[in-house]
Amino acid sequence: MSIFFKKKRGEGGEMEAELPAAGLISLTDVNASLVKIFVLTIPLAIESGLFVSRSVATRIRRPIVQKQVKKDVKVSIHIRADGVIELNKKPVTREQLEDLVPKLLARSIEKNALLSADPEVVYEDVVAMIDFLKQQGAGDVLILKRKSRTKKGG
Amino acid sequence: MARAGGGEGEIAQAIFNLASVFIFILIFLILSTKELFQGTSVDVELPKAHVIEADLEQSISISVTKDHKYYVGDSLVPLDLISQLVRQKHWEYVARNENDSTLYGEQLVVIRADKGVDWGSVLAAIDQAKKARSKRITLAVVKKD
Repeated sequence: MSIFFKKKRGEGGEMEAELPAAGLISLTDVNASLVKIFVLTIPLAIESGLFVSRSVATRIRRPIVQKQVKKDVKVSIHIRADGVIELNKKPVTREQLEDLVPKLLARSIEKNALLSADPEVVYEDVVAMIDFLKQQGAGDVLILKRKSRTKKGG
Repeated sequence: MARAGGGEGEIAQAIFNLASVFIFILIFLILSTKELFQGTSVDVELPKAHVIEADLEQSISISVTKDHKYYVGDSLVPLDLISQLVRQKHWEYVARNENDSTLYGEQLVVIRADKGVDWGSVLAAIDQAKKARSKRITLAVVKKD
């Protein structure tokens, strides 16, 4: 107990009371600060999500007919394993992509985009592309599964 | 005087207790954060994104680690068993909601993949979730600053 409390000696020399040691008070302050910082930083650490599939209930506000979707899709992107990005089957640079995608999306009613990637592509690059498309105003990014088109052995 | 001294002693004791409580709160928060907010304690480095669409509610989490291991919640499972486990969780969700079978597949499935894994591994996990007739699938990301 002597670690946490200091006995105060009175004028007559008798022990008067136990006061909390300065260390204990600062410990309380530090703890309180740590809890506050922790609670405040929780929102920064929370995970969020990018939809790759939605239920009908969440799409009910804008019902879509399958045929219309196919016709309406103006942006189809494929990321190749060698890093080349194809926009509507034509290789494009990142700058061209940033220029063309908003224009193409503007011509679309539903503003949906198709995205596919070779299985060897790093996941982070695919998420970056989904993020880019959403930032450019794409409604839904529809993920397609395609076979790798890169030639083996060069 | 003795009475006052006793009072100060009680205050000191109270401060000591308060400090202990803070420490316990802190330890509890640190240990339970992952469970509370992610539904799993599998550690993966998530990619970052500017656009955020879904707040991850009570969900089924499928984690893909750097060494290509798959977890459903905290359980390590082989790839081809994921759909079976997800299906089971969907039925549990239905049972929790007064056996309303129209809710089957409505529980959010979160794919938590390490940013360094290949897309093929993530696609395989999405395939498994689709195989279990999951209607809502999302990729977990961390918001970019």
